[in-house]
Amino acid sequence: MDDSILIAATLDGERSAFLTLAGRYGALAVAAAYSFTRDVETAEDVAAVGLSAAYSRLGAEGQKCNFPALVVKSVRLVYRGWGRRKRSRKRPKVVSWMKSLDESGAATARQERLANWSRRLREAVNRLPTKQRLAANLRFMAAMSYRDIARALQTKPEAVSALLVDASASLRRRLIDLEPRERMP
Amino acid sequence: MMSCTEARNLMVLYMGGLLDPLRRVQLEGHVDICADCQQEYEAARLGFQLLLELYPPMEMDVEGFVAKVEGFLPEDAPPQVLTAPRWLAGIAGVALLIGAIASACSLMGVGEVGAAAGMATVSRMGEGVASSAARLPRLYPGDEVETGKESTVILEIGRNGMVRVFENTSLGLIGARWGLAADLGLEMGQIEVVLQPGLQNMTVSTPGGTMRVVGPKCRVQVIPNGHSPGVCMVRLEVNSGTVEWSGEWGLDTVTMGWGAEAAPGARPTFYRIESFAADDVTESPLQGLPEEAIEGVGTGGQSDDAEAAATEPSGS
Repeated sequence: MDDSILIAATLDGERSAFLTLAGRYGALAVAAAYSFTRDVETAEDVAAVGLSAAYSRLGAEGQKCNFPALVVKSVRLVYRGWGRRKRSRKRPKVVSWMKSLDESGAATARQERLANWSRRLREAVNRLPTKQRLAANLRFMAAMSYRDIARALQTKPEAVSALLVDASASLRRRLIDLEPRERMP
Repeated sequence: MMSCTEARNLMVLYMGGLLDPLRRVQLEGHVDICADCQQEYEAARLGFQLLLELYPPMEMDVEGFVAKVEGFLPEDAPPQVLTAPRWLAGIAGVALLIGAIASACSLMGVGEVGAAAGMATVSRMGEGVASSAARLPRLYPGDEVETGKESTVILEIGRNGMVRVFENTSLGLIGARWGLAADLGLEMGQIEVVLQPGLQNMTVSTPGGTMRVVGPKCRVQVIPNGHSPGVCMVRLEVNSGTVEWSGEWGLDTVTMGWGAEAAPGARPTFYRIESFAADDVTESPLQGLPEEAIEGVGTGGQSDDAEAAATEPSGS
């Protein structure tokens, strides 16, 4: 069902229509939130609150609004408020979905190296500029197409591609070029 | 033949699968034969490969997440906000801007009270009280100036304009535009208008009609007829310049000889305009009168000759 139909139903008071939208764009919301929070568990909470903020703003945005962009915008706004409250808290060192990878993968040496690479990748991703990080997370975490990312970020697919090329080049430099002896497992 | 710069620009699109088939073939052909571009492409491909392999896919419990979102949702439906289309918002913005400028113009005030003597009062619309003219030095549209016996007010319009309000006069301030023009309503009494030639103008509405004063100096007097309520006589003295008259009642009588304050050597022109009841209305637009026409007009009755000969009045 088209977004605009679900939005219209939401505006008519059907909460289930919005929950369908939430399911559809949940991954986008979490990936976007993760780009800001750098922690998946917090990201889920921020994404959920962001979606509820998007729900409240639907009336002002109207039926034909760009819902993915509204979600990203709302998540960013929620994170800003969230970030102020949580500033004093130390960020967790390992992301939960990577932590599970660490624990399960410790059995073999290859998995251990992979876990190590994952951790370093996360650290490298976290050092990327926000736009590149957002594009990379939407592409590789939420498995979104270039066109969908472009719609969510309100830009062109070519710009998204350029962001990802820059991001990958930057990551590659950090992960491979700086330590040429240690190759990818 | 594709250049290396072009190929490297297209690589970005190629990596994202955004390149059309023809360009893709061209790019692949170039990369096959160009070692530098091949190296560049390999580096970009490796970077993407690295990301794809090391970025674990997100394992998300969609149902649990939706339930979490539902917990955060407010009970009520999203509040409906009426939003105008963007073009309408643009028009509204322009209208607001114009309104702001217009209100700023009107807030500029009609003028300032330069001097006040005697029992001159100003009634400000909305306040419902009459204050001394000296207490309200800046006058705004809607204000009314009343002078009593042996009292005068000098109203300064812009830098060089001036309206002298004589005694027993009731003058309403209708509007103003940047100190260059003002609309006045003279209900009773006498005013003298001095304007900066070519820069300022003033519209004076009287019970007998409206006149637009362009010239430097003129004097207007409204004399109510004590015996017949609603009937008054309007006297207009043009010392120099032009007065455009657009009264509902025409010029009735033109006489000379009123103007003791005329400059030496000047030959002031005097118009006496009597207003009558609506039944007696005669269309009589006047663009001033030449002296020849003035001399030929007698007193009393409608003067068609004067209307026909209406031109700019003689100057000083």
